[in-house]
Amino acid sequence: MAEQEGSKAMTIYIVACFALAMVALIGYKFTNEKRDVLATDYIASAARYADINVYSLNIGDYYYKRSQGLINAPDRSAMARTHEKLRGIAEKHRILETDNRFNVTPARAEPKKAGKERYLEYKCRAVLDNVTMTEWQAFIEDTLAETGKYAVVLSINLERKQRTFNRIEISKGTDFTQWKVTIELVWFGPEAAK
Amino acid sequence: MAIAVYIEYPRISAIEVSGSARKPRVKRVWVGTLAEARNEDGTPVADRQGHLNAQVAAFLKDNKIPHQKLFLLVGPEGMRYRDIHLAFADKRQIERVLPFQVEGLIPNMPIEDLTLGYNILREEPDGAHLLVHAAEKDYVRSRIAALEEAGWGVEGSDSHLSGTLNLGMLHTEFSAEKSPALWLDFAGTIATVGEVHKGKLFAARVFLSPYLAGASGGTAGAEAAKEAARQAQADAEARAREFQGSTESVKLPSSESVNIGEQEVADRIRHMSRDELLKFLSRVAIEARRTILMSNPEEEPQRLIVSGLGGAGEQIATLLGNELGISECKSIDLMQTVNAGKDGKPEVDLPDAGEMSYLAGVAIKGLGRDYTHINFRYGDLAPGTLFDYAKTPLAFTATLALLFSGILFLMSWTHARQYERGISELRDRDQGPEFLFKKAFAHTAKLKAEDKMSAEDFAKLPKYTVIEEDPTQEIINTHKALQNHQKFLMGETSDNYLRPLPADQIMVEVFKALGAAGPSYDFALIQLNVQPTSVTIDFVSSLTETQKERDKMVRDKLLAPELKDVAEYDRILASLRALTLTQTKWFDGEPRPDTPGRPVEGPEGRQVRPAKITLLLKKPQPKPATTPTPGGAK
Repeated sequence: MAEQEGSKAMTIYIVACFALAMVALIGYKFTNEKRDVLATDYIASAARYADINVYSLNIGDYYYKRSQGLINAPDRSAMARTHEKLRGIAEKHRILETDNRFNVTPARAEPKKAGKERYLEYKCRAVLDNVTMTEWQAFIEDTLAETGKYAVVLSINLERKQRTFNRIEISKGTDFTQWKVTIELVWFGPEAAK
Repeated sequence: MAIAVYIEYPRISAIEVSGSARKPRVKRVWVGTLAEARNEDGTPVADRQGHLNAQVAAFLKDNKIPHQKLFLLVGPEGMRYRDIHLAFADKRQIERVLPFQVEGLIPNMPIEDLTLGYNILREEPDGAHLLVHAAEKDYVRSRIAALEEAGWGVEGSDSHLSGTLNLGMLHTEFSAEKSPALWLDFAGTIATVGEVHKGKLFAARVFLSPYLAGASGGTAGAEAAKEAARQAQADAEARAREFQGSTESVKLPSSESVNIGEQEVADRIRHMSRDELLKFLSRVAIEARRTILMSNPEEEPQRLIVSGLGGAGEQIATLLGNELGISECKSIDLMQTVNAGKDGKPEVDLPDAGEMSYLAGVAIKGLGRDYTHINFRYGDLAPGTLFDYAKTPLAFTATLALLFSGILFLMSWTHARQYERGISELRDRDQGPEFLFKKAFAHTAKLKAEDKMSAEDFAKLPKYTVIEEDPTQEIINTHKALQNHQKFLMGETSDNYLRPLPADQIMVEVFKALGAAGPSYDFALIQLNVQPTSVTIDFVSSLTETQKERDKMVRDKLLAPELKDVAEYDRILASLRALTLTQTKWFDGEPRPDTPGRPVEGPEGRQVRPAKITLLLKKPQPKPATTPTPGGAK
């Protein structure tokens, strides 16, 4: 007599169970990897979505203010008028060219090369003479506020006019020391702007 | 070599045969006692299987039975036979329908409790006649378990009728060239009648040998034997009635067996009265005639062959021949086939036990001689391979593995789907990335229309791209575009222009360092020159600073307590050194002090020394080239 059908069915069941279990495990391996990726993606996407909200507000606000004329984007002509801005700042602090206390040179463009890239470097120098520490501090602060969006301070030279030892004067808490301050700004632009 | 074992109260017997399938030889015989499953006080043993295991193990080990092909003989007490006719002779079909056929023929026994075998008696145009051998599973299982528990593997299991046929058909009296014969075999209390023609068995029946069944043992007296035989006859007839008139089967009560041998049978026949002998002959003749009638042979049997009656064989054969009308009668000894010595005497002395012919017939299956090809070890009685034994735990493990892995898969799949949906919902919500992106650039069209934004700049504004099948990437792209645009608006550059170090920030850090050094009352900064490559600090430091002044500065928190004993110049130098070490992105190495100048005297007798310290700056490095962002440098 042949083997009973039940025994065959048992063997088939065992093999089928193991085969299905193996398939399920392989499926689990892949889906679990996918799940891990998706879990990370989900958290990252939620964080990105929150960022997108903020970016959208910021950018929208910026363009809104631009459209309303509340702010103006620096453009090349504005950059080219940097020396006028500096003169204006100096005048604001009563540092006048007419008193020979202020001198500024318009921006000069010099061709430069970094790697394969060619570009123009613009330099603008302002000299403040016979100014107090209070005056040059205020001038520098305003200059940075006005030009900081596009220019970098290349050099600053703070030179005390009186090079003698005058401890008494300083200790009095007054600010009569005179300085000569030279500040040089630099910014860049593409070669095509020449 | 092969061994057959028969286990039935009150004996366990085994026989070993050697030789070939054509010429088998009995090699050894072992007979042991099988104690009744009762305790010392006569109560039945609770663990009957354990009792049987112990008895069988003791028999096998005490007799040092070799580990060879071992077959279990199923005696008449565990067998039922049915003669059935089927409309086909294909073995696969027969095996398919046999359980259902037998189920109706043995109504008092669930088919699940039987293990079946069959041999085809006659193949006819309209089907086949089968002799079904049905063994009780419990009988077979308990004995196999006992043998296997003792450490002996069981190759197969077969019925006593198979053993008789296997052995008998080897005898020369049943060779193919002989004329048709009616064969009557007596093995103890069991008789078999068969019709043999051309070396094949055409019909067979097993029945209880009337008037022979009774008390076993050669010492039983004639009167006791008669009484016991009468009782056995009554029992056998009552059992036959159980089958509702079906006398095709015989099943002995377990107390009766084939344990009486030829000598005992002959002794009983000798002590029969004339009346008993006539009844005996009449009953046997009836069974023989029924067999002939059922088989309906083309040729009537011309010979009568009687076996298993020992010395009384010739006499009974003659008497039965007269009864059946057959003139050629002969008595044979089946065991001569496998135990014939050179001088006609048995080669091995055999005990006077009726099961010897059965055992020898079953044992020679192990040599390749198998007339019926029956083996009850199949299905749940099949010899267990390692895999068979492991099936149940394997099935359990497989189910668990499937459940476990299935649950894992479903969980991770469900989670993955949830995350996918979550990301899609993020992308597809009303105020999603697309809405926010468009909102960010809502005023740019107006700027362009009012010429506040050039067409070139407008064209360079990022565009929203929908990626329907990948919401994650769509969010990433949106985020990146807005982030980059915000950076661009905040002045971040992506060009490769060589920007200098920020002189204003360096100046502030130098002032902080000078302040941290705690300048004295005499300190004065003469010059601070921040150039692209270096910072030069000219100053005068006090030489007349007193400890009292420093202590006051410490109290006023203008000087760190640990610097209260340090001269001003050293404090400034240390503070600048700390600056160069912390701001390594700007400063290149430690401060480089010049030789201090000559002391200068001021008011109130105070003295200072002019000093100059240079800080070297790192050379700006160009950034790696990147893709230019819209608008260029600002």
